[in-house]
Amino acid sequence: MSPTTVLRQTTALLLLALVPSLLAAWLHPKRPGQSTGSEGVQAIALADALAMSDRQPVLWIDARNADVHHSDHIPGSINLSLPAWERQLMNFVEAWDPDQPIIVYCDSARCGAALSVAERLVREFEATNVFYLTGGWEAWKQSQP
Amino acid sequence: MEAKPALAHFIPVALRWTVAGVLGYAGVMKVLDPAQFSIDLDGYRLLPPVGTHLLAYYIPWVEILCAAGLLLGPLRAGAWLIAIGLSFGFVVFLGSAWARGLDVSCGCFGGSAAEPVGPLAVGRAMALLSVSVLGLRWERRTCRIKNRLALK
Repeated sequence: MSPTTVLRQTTALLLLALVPSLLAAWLHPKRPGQSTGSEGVQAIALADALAMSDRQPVLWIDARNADVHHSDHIPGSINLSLPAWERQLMNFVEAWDPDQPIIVYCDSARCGAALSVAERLVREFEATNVFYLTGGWEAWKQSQP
Repeated sequence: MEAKPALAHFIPVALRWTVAGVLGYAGVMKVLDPAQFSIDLDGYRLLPPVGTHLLAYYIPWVEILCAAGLLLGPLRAGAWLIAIGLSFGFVVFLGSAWARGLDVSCGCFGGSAAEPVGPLAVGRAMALLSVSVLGLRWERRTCRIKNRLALK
């Protein structure tokens, strides 16, 4: 079998994959870029989050991995990350008051884990007032003197 | 003496089904939630958002069609080459995230199976790459033998 044949087959498969991809981009109910703020989760900037936590008790959730959380975290936050969900869930259940707003954070504005954790809390616990911190840990760290 | 040809036939088939199974499963799980896969890709910090969005639609279907190509036959060599390309990409993404110490979900099998980037994920991608290289070599060799027999 010549390299040309292999390349021709590869091109055929790659072109074929374009068809369902384009259909998904047009019709899929869970399209990228639409999940922000979906499922009852709202984005919140650090300044607003701090103002909220001054007004009322807030449950901070650190969606980063356990070792990173243990090295440093927002004071009072509990660790709940997707990879260790089952193991860490009890911490959340014990700390959670349904009337209390929840603010989830991860590394930075780009990490995505905070939104995923926040959406899962809304789905599984029907939690309301769930926010994800847009700048994440980086923003909080920079705001500290 | 008869065990050798049987084994020689069984091993490539088993490898092909394994790679097809892994890629097919990964593709289907990602197709279900492209938004989550896009978030996972974004976590690697290697692509701009528009790039992660496009890949979130495209990669899962490439995986599925690659798995179908491996199983169905006529485009099998092309499917092996795609498997090599995909697994090489996985190694680069996972390896770079691991080297940078990024705290991200690997996104290997969609959002429902959140698995951190680490040695397991990198090792699995490298194993997939090795098997895919072997698979393509074996496929080309088989075709050469078949062509020679046909010429006779």
